[in-house]
Amino acid sequence: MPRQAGSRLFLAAALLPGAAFVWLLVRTPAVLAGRTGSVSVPWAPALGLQVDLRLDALGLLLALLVTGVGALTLAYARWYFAERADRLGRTCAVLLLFVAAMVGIAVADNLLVLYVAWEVTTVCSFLLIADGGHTAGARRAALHALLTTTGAGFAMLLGFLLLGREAGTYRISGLAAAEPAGGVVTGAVVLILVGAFAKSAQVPFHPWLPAAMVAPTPVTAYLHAAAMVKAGVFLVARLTPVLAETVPWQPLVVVIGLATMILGGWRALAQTDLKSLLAFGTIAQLGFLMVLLGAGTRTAAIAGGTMLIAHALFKACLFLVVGIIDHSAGTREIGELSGVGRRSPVLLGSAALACASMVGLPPFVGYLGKEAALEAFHTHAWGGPGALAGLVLGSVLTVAYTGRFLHGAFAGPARPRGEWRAPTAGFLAAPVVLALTGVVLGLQPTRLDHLVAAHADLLPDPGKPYHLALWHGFGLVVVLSAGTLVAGIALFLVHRRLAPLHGRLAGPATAQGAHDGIATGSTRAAAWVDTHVHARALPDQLARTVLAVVLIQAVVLVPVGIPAPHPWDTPWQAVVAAGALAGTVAVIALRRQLYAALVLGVVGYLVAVVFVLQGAPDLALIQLLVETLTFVVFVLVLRRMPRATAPRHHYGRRLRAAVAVSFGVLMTLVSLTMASRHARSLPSPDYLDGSPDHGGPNVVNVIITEYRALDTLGEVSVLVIAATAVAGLVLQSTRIGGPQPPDEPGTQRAEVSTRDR
Amino acid sequence: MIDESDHPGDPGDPQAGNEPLDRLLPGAHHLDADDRSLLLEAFARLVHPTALVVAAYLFVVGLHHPGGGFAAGLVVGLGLLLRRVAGGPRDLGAAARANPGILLGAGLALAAGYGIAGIVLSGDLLHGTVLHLDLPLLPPHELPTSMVFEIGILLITVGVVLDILRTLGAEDDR
Repeated sequence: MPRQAGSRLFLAAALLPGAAFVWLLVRTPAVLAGRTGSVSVPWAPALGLQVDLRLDALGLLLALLVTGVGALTLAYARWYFAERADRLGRTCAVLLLFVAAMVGIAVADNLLVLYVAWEVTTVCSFLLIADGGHTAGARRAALHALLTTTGAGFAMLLGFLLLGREAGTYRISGLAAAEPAGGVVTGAVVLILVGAFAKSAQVPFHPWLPAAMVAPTPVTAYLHAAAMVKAGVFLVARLTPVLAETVPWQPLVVVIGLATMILGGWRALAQTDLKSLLAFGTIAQLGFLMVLLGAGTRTAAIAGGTMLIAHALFKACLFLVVGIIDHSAGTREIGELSGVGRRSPVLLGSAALACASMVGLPPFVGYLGKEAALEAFHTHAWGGPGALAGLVLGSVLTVAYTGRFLHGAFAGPARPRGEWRAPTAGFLAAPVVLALTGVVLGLQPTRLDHLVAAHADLLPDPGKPYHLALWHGFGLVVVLSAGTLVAGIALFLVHRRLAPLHGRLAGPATAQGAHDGIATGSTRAAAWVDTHVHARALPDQLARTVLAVVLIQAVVLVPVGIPAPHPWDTPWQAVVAAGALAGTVAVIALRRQLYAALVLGVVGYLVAVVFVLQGAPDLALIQLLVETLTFVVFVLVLRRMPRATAPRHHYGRRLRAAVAVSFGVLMTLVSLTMASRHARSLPSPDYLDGSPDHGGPNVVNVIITEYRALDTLGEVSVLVIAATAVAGLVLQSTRIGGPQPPDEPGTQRAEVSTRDR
Repeated sequence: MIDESDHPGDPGDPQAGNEPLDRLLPGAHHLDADDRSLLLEAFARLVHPTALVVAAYLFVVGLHHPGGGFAAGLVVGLGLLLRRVAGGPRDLGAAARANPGILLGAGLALAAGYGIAGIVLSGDLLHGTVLHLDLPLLPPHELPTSMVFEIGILLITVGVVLDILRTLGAEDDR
């Protein structure tokens, strides 16, 4: 890890997403003109899998957000982590991988590729939230997020598979033409939506998002405001043109989305920690986005695309602002902050701009999105007046918690000096850029319209085409918009009196409780299985394993049938077998372990003789060598054991004998069955004919190093792992006899060889 | 057993300066006198180089006859085993100074690298070919590229044996 580079590493890292952002901007006109670039790379051709990538308008939108905000966040991280030295390289690398995975989600044109990228983001988020896993809270939150999103991710994968099978293609761009329909597709829709809801923290999966706030602020700003949580709504947007008409899609998306929006807004109003406040605000906004992008009309999709941009800009900005406040004031509790606005007008300014966008004031991007949203549900979208009322209520809550955020973070008289460390210009740059972008884009409604309409045009439009504009004329929408502002401000003014209500309407507490219940329940179930299946003593475990082998093999062997016994090919075999049998009896009878091991070695040598008699010198050679080594290893282990063989067993002698005899009988039968097969196996003619051309006439070696080389590679890998594990576990890797100074005291020697590892 | 008390008053190398330059086994003098066997030490001294030659033979001959990387590695391991038994852990260290971890890693890297080289060179995992060498004064030779793979297996085998000898053989002699 380039530790000496310190947090400046992040600046270098920011160049990568920055370059991608510029490239995407250059491509934008072509993509919007309909020239979507696509690439197909074979992945596993035998399974018909390929990596299909396609840059269309929707993917471009997300990719621009991900790379743009990613570059800014990484640059910001340079100052945020300035005083930290450990694990910076790790954080930086995981963040970059995360950017790549998010771009992968944006450009994936294959359901399975999308799933892979999706899960990569989940793993990255786990690593970033845990952040080294030094505190129990971070570990718990990371695990919570991982369990929720991967668990639902599996449901989503199942949904993808059902959908792909029903449609006959896994290409997302091919799904529309396939027009999948029917009962299976209905099931697939529900499963896919479960995955999307969990990723985007919709009710009832939402508790993981506030828990994830333990992560460092650049991480939360990026993952939990701008990027990862967008994956769920992005997926919904991606599939809406295909699946919106399938039965449970619109009701599910709209109802769950609205419930999330209202619940998130309500809970945000009660938070005292600025970051938690923003987290619940994010949940609310994600519900809003879910409703818009899943509703399935053109106007709603335009509103959704606009809000997607707006939310990434203002929420990332606000998180970054909170990070700076946290850094400079040492707290982010509303009750402890005072006078931040006076101390840092730049901070206040950028937060105010972002908040204005969040509540939907003109001329910000959020305003354009909110107007379009109200218009969409005012006219034709699913749900009609009920959904519109829900949106209005959600917006009122948004205004109220925005007020709480601004007031709580910045209001009050300036504190005594010394309690505020002024942030440097570089630290402030990222939130300022994000806040200003919200204004600049808001003043360019036509360009923005161009960008989001390219995707929205895929959807049906019952009314006249809607275009983003700063003024649409007087009507119900304007009244509602102004009304939400007034009602929101009123709610903000009285929200302290609602505090008792918050205690009573603690819906999320039950969701958190359900999650905890599932977590502890599954842990208990695992413990139960462990105690009832896994024995504590090694001999008991061995007996169970052997018994399982016997039962399973017997099931396979019985249908095959047991061959007629065939005495021997040469009488020598009988002689050797008699010797081996006598040796086996002796091993059981001998009381001294060392002698037993010695006789066991002799039995092994006799087996090698059998190989020679059967004409397999290769096997015989290896058997001899391995047997010799095994014997010595035996001796080395036995030296550390008590001399007498009186092991205690939980089972009686008879039971153990029965297990042993049944295993012996089974192995005899297996050997007889294998030996009675005189037909050559199918590939053997090829092996025999081809081996001189492939590296020598020794067929056995050619098989090991040519035909079955992959097997060999796998086996040696296992060998290496096993050897390392033995070395590590048995003696905590205390090896002696290595290259070291001759007569050091023992303890130091152990340290030296441990370090050598 | 390494018994430091054998050489009181000198915590460093016990008999520095007094030792004969040529030992039978370099590490054996660290053993307790009761644990030593001259016959075994002499035998080990004679057999160990022979074992290495046999291993080399088995490795080369593996193309045409029983042998190959695994067998060769086992023979090398047996030679080390003999040194361990005859000369104790110090002598094992003198016989094989390499860290078993490095042997294992190098072997696995070689074997896997060979497989990947196959992909790079011919698009097929673990793809190999046979080189035909016509050297002056020598009969024509065939050299399959899978020899590289075999060397990897050899190194891994030696590494595993060495690892076992060092870990399992370590406890009593500490």
